[in-house]
Amino acid sequence: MRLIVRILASCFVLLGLSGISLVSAQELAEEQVVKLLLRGKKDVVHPSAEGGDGRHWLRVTMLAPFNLDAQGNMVPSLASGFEKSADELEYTLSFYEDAVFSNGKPITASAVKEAWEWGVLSENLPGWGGLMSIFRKIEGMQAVSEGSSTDAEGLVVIDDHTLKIVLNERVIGWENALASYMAGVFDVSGDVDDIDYWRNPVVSGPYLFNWDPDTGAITLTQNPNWWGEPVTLERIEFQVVEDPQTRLIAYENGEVDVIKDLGDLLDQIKVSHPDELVAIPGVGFFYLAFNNQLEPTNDPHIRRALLHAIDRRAVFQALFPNHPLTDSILQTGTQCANPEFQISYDPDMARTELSQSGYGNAENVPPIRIQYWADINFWGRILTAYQQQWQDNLGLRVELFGVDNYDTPNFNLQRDSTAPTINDPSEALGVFAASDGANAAYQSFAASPELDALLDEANTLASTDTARCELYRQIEERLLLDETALIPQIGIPYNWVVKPYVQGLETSLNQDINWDQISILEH
Amino acid sequence: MKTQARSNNLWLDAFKRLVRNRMSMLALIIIVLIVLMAIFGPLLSPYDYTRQDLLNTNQGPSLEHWFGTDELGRDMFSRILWGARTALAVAFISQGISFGLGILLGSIAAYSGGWVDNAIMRFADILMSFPHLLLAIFVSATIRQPILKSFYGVYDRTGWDIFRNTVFIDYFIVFGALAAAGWPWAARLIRGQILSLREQDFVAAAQALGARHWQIIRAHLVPNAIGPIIVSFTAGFGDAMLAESSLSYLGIGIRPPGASWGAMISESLIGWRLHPHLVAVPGLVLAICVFAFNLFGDGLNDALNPRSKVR
Amino acid sequence: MLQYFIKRIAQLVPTVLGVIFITFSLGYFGPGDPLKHQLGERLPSDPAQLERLRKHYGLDRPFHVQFSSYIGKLARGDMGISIVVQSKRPIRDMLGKALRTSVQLGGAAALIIFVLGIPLGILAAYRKNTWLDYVIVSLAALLPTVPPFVLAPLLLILFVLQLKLLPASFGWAGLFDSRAILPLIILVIGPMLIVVRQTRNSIIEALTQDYVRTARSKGVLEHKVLSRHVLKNAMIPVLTSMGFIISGLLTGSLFVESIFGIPGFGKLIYDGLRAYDYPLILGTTLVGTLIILASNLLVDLLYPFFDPRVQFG
Repeated sequence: MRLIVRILASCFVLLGLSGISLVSAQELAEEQVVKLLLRGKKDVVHPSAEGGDGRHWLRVTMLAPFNLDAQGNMVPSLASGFEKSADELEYTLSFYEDAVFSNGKPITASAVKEAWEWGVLSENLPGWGGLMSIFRKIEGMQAVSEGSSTDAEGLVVIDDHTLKIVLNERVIGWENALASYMAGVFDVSGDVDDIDYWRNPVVSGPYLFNWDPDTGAITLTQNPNWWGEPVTLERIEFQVVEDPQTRLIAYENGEVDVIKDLGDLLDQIKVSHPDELVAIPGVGFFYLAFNNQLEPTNDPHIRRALLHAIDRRAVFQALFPNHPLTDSILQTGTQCANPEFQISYDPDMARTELSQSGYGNAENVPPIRIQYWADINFWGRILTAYQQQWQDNLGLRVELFGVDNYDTPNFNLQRDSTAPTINDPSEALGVFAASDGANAAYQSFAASPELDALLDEANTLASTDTARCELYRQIEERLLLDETALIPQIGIPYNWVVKPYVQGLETSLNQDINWDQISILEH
Repeated sequence: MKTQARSNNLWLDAFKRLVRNRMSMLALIIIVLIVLMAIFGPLLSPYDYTRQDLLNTNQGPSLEHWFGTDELGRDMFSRILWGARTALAVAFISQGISFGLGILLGSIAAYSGGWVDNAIMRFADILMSFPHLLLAIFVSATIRQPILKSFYGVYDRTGWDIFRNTVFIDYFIVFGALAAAGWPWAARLIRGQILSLREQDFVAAAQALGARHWQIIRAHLVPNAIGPIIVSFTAGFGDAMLAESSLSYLGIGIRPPGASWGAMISESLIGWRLHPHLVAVPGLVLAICVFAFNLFGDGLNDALNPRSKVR
Repeated sequence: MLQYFIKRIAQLVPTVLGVIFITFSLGYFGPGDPLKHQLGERLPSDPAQLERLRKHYGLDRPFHVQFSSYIGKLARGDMGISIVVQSKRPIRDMLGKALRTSVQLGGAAALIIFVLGIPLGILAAYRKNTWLDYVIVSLAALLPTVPPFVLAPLLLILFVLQLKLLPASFGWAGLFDSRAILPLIILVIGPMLIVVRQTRNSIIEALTQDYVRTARSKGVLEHKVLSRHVLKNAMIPVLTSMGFIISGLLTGSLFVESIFGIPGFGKLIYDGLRAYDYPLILGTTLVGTLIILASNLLVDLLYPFFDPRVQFG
């Protein structure tokens, strides 16, 4: 059986265009410019290392083969469609034949291959893996990343507009990787190793990209060589302001049209601008990651004691009532997610665990060190509340660290977040349970070999198999309640705050913005 | 005997001048209140400054909580009292270390002269050319990690309970960083005082009469040099408090749940539009306190050095 | 004059070397493995590979060798590479860009401080112990007791949301953009106290001097007494406080630029600290110190114009 997936672009584009034209007859503003404020300056803007705010401009500048729509469906972007082999090991992509870079050069299959081969080079990747986190299963990619090969055998150029991708292992839902902003394509034949190239990179999308590495400001302007459907917005300006209140004041004062709130002011904005919030969906979540190589959290009893001794529900209700508390690794929106699952607050159970630990009682337990990075207002506050509860319920001493260096192995717990780009339990759980998962190295947590084996078993099952979800839920439960690799905190609390005259703004599981479909109304 | 009487008179005159200055008396009253607050406040306050009450967060001022409660439901008044302790401890100890080192090195330099003087003062010059707070930031950013690591090592080896507590390490690092930036100024001041006094007639006369070194120091140098030292010691208090709050704002000061006015401000900065009192109260107390110390420093200066009006 | 200038520069050399020595050795013995800082999250876990990298970066060499190679690099203008994520930007370039902004901001602030502070000080001195004196002196003393990170939100609410006079200040659109106003106000407030107080005190002192009394008794007009006799003498202590003012501006820029998102020198210090970007912390500290040294040198060179008793030589 040959599974054929072909996505029709035209209907989406037609829908989008009809929406815009309906409005434009009424009252389109003369100046089609959007100004947006973000937190956090970008030090690197190439797609393969992107993990944060870059996703919204990548969607319209350096196009990935596909995009996601608001519901999480894949829609064509650089590629018109793909075919998947029955064993789900081969993906054949068809690129648009008229696609050209902003310098006029045609976007061929080999240009895409070369851009990706540059993107996975280890020096171009961030610590959590970047593009490699989704492309590591492509045949030969590991060698290219390490620099021992320049040609990934798994990327086969069939002809100018067809690229075959060969995986060395089946990954359910791997096609999601093709809709990730990290797979964005740019012209790699320029001097891409020079930071100055990235001030005005040669792009593949409807907007040219202009970056000032000193201020972090980014301006998108229309690409005269754009090969797709015409776009309405003339210019999109991003600026960086670290302080959330200053961002909001600039917005309230009418100086900018869109701001991103990362949850800092959610409670405030829910009251002051409830109708201007556009919630950003996501299957990611925030958590405290345990280190099981370090005393005393190498003792699973201690980890379990810490897990059950804090009343997360009460803490969030009191401190950040609008934030979506989560108890799970698999978030709603990912297959096999179990919304019923809850982690209990049970001080008695926690005390029992403590007494069963190798330390016997709290007196003998060395202090527990937690790294929350520099976010004192949010995580500092939450952890201070936990600190009190650990002290009250267990008598344990917990120390909190804000600004520090990258010496993460020195901490028992650290605040982190993850969002599976390949939206499938194999990926979402693999980060924690697989022996080659990101957590084993980055957060110093090695899950047990049994869990690794269980994961391997589940990964071989077909996506329709009912046993699959049972296995994944079992893994999730053991990861949380038995091995306790992490303490889940909240889902994505991000929101766009958008002026009403910004017409048609939508966001997706990629947390991006559909700039190509937006227009500004007279206001 | 005669010099004793003379210096007694000087002190009395200075005291009278100080009392006559209404502004510095006001400042003194504030300072005494703050010191009393810092010493006795935490004992008398009805709440523990770290005690959280998640059901009563962000409350405005009330009879139960005079200054309201903070974002974790902790009593603001108790935290302000504890913050007074932190602020005074930081100011007093960092100034103490600065001046201790300064007096020691400054007088060694003045008395030895030659290459010792040269070496000490060159070193002081180098440190003084760093911007004050920048040096404190730099020192605390570089020494924090190694100090904490070696401290962990001590606990791992000894297993002694006192080494489990690393809270005072924070204070220690803040003191150290501020003192590292402060001592060269004290050293320069003291060296200058000693050198200029040595030139004075009565010291030369005493030397000619065969008085011993320490006699000269005790009888002449100490009473004469102590005025400017007290003035600049006090005047530095306000700056030290502000510097501590800045370090806390930058995340390299006192860590939670410790209470310092600077940390209280920066912990509440995100919600200042919803709960302005959480920023206003510690901000106001800090401002009053720094203002009082600066004012008192000025008054002391006027009283002790009636001719020079310059700090 | 030239000889004096050369001599002063020559005196600076050991100080600068000392500054570099202190920053370098604190970095060497201080925050742990420099390799960790160089590579950040990408540090390999294989010990053999680590050892190779140590050799590659020359980190296996003894302290004095590393120090002299660092000096050599500095002399060639190489301040190392920022380790923040992997932008691989030379710190020299980052500093150059940042200083371009900060020098404008700081220069304008210094100008305001002198242009506003000296007349206020003179006014307070001439109206000594009147309500005007009290108001000027206590305002100058009170305002700097509010830390910039409290002042910034207060001013934002007041000027932007309540009075609607100014735009919310973010970013840098040049010195003559209205967005520069709030940062300037906050930057000016701290060091202003020094100038007002210094001016006031030294003018009060100058007014009691014999030459002023003589001039007055001869019937010389008051504004001429002020400009000819009082000011010239009173400006010396103000000039001396230049180092403090620059130091205050540097520290102030750290807060102001990070709060308002101005891509300047202070923002770089802040970024370096937040990301624990050690080479950047080292570079900013070094340059901050050089700025102070340069301003002290400038003051020394300006002295003789104000005080005829000081001779070059």
